[in-house]
Amino acid sequence: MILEGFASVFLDPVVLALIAVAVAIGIIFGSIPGLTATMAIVMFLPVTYRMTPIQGISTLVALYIGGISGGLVSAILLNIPGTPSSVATCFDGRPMAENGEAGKALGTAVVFSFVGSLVGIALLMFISPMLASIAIKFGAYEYTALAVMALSLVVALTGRDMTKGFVSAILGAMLATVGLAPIDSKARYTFGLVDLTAGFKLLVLLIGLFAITEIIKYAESVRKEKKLQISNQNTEIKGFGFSFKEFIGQLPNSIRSALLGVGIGILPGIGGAISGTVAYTVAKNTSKYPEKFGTGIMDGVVASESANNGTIGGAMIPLLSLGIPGDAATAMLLGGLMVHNVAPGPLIFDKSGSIVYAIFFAMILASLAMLVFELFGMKQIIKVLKIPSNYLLPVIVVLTVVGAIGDSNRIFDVWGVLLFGLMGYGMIKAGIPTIPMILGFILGPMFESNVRKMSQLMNTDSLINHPIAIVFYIITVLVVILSVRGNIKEAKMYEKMKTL
Amino acid sequence: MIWGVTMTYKSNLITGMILMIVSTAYYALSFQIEVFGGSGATALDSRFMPRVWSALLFVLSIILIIRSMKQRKKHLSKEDVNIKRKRSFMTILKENREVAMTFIALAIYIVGLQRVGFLIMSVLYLFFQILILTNKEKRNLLLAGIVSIVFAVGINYIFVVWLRVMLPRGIIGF
Repeated sequence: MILEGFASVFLDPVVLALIAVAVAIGIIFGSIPGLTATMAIVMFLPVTYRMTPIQGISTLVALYIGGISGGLVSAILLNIPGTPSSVATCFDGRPMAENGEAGKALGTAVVFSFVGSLVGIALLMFISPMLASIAIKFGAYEYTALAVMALSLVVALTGRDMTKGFVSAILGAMLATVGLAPIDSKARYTFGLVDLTAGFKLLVLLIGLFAITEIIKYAESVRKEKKLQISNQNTEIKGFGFSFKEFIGQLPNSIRSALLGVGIGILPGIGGAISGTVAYTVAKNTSKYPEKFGTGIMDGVVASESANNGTIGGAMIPLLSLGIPGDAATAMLLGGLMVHNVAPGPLIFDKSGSIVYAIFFAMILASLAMLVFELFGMKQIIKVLKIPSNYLLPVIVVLTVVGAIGDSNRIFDVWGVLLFGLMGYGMIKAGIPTIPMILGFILGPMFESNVRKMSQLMNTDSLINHPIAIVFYIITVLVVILSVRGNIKEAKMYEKMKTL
Repeated sequence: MIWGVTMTYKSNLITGMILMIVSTAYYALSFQIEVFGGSGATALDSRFMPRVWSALLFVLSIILIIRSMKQRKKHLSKEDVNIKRKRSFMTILKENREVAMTFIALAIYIVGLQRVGFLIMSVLYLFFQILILTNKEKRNLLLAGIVSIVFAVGINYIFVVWLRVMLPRGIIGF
């Protein structure tokens, strides 16, 4: 199975070429502010429709990896994170560039992105089969508890406003009830429309929430002119940009940050943006010279970039072994896997084992391609930063329309995209986060079908016989208590800040 | 954000009220769901979960409304330095005209897809959307036109000819 996966990636020149191209495109998307890894996957999903599953999924994974790491370029040179993942890279990357060390900053960020990715992928390869082998024993009780736990984590972790996070998750779960009910297939909320009996597609929801809202955000800013100032310092990377001694010195920091990134990636609802910032803070607090952070030292860049790339591997763990994506980009990947008839979940290693290993190898290869492209192609990447978004975004919209139609040849789905775009815009205006909605959309049906199965089992089988489910519930209770407390504290702090 | 800080209590109030209406309507509609009563029926039927969701949303909407009331009290008790600007719906619309026009352009695009076809509608949509997103002084009709035609034709070619994705062809046949 492993060999088969290996061969299907490394011995197929088409796959190799696709990965290389996809990484390059991903880097470009990541480096242009306003375009994200998620957008890259949305946009190129229709291109993969006609590919074999391994070709298609390798392409999507490569876009993801390129997209996350590409953000470092604009973080360092423009002081604008190209993707949310690179927020913390700005903190020290920009000062480094201003101190005339742009090349060193870029080199550091690139190499440690690579290190972070590898740590993430290694853990992914190690943990996900284990998790899947545990999850394969899950029954209705365990899945119900898992859905509750995952939802509580999402609500607790996304954003500081738990009420609105919860609203978002519930709305997602409500949207998912449209169509045929699980188990008895009764039509619900279809209003007699044939098109609605199949329900809304995850892909359609994702395009509406993440692609359409992006063009709308840009539309809001048309008359507010902002000038992008590309740092015109020497961006040439000499060798790796730093010495071998520095590399060894930074390795512990990098590994720790990457592990943090993996851990955060596994949790549903939060992704690279948070992991980079958390790792940066941890690196600062444990450093012997915390006062130097923010003035342009390698440590900050290393922490942020190792962590956000580590998150990739982490986020893939629950996606592959449980079918629960950790963030918007992995939710897109879930959409992509479904298009190619690969059903993530505990059975994935049995049903599509060779594809899973192919994904792992594609990820390693994509990380390598990312390293090479960003070390030697930086000049070209910087040129791409100048592509104006007002021309690019409309093209992206047309491509997402193709993606929405092409999946099942229905104009109806494009209306869905517009509807969800409007809804997403309204949610942003109301301060409601959009990511919990995706998780609610995925976890809602999982919760429902298992709760209903459970309702049948109750008489013969009690919860006591399901220790794993009990553990999940205990975690849920702890998460809720801790986050409610944290929320109240934060609200009080905020009030104080306001009155001062 | 364009709506500013003084709007937060209002936006929470509006959000809460909209969510309350949504949850009530959703609950009311759950009565239309047929219930399967044959053998093998689960103890919890297909109406159960929708009702749980709508109940939860209802509670959350009340929390939001209560919160907005509290915010309002604070807001009114403070001597407000920011004089409230009364803004009509039309001014808000005018301030956000690019947003409104983007949605309208998208809607027209989708309507046209089936009747006129993907290629022509894409050219038109790209052209107008680029103009909407470009500041007045910087608009370049020629460039926008060229970009629209090149990308629409390119995308159409790649997907229809090369990747054989079925895209709506409309009355003219492409």
